Amino acid sequence: MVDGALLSRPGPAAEVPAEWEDGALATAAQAGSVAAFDALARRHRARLMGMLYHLTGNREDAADLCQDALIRAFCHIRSFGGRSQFYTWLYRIAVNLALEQMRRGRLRRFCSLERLAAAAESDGAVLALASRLKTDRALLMKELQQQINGALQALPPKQRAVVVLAEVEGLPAGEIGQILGCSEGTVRSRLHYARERLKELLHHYLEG
Amino acid sequence: MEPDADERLGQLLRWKRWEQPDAAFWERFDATFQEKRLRSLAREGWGGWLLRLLRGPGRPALAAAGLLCAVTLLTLPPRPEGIAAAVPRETEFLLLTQEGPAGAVEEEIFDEGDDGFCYVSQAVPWTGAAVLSAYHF
Repeated sequence: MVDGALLSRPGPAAEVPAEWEDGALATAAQAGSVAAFDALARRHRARLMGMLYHLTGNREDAADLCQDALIRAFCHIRSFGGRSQFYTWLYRIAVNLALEQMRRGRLRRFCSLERLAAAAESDGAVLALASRLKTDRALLMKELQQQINGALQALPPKQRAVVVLAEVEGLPAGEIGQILGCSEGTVRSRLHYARERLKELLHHYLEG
Repeated sequence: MEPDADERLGQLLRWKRWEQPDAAFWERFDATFQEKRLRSLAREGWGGWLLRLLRGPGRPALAAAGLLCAVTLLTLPPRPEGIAAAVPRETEFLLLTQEGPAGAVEEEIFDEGDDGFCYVSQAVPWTGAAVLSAYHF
C-alpha cells in the first residue's frame, strides 16, 4: 500500500492536485498514494484536533488521540466505503478512540487549556457577557475557558460527545448519529439532558 | 429581544471554537505523526506487508505468477543424466555447417545418444565460447 514517499520527510503533496475533493483523495489513498492521504490529513486535522480537545479537555491527550486516529485511518483506508463523507468516517474513528481511552481511564485527569485566538476577545458572546457582569474582558476569558471546559468534563462522555459535535462543531443530528453509531432520536435526547446539565453548571453566565 | 439561557449557552459553546493551536504546534504534530506512522508500519513487519500485498490490487498478478511457477515446476522434464559427461575434451564428430549470415553460430552435431537426446555444441566464432544444448527427438 505504501510507496516510497513514506520514507521521506513530509512536504507538500506535490503529486496530488490541491483542488481534489475528499472522495478523489480517498480513492487515491486506497490505491496506495501516501501523498493523497497526507493531503486528507492536512485538510481535516485542525477540526479533528479541535473536536478531540473539546471532548477530552486536555491538549496533550487530544494531540495523541488525533495522531492515533489518523494512523488508524491510514492503516484502514480501504475500509472507507464512501457511503459517508470522509470526515464523518474519520470523526467516527477519532470519537470511538477517545471514548475507548476514557472508558479505560487512560487519559489525563486534568484540563490542559488550549491557546485562545486573539479574535476570541472581540467575540459577541464575550462582549455581551463582560458588559452584563461588568468585568474585565481578559479576566473573563480566562475564567470562561476554565468554567466551560470544567462543565463539559462534568458530563458523561457520550453526552459530552453529542454536545461537542452539535454545539461546537455544528454538525446536524443525522451526521452525529452516524459518527456515534446511534439514532437521531438518541442524539437529541442526549443533547437535551446535556444542555440542561450545562445550564445548571454555567447559570452564572447565562442569567439575564 | 434578549437571548434566553439556551441561546446564551449555544453562544458560549461556540466561543470555544477560538481555542486553536498555533503554527509551531502543527510543526511538532506533523513530525510526531510521521514518526508514529513509521513505527506503526515497522511493527506490522513483513507479515503485515505480505497481507497487504495479498489483499491489494496486485493480487491477481501475484496469483498468476504463483500458478505459473507451480506449473513450470511440475511440468519441467527431468534433466538428462550424464549431460555434463557428454562434453569430452576430444571427440571425433561429424561437422555440419550451414550457410548463413556472417558471424552465425556453426552448428555441430556432437552426439546422438541412446537416450533419445541430441547433444549439440555450438561454437560461437571469434569468441572461443561454446553453447551446449540438449534436444529431445
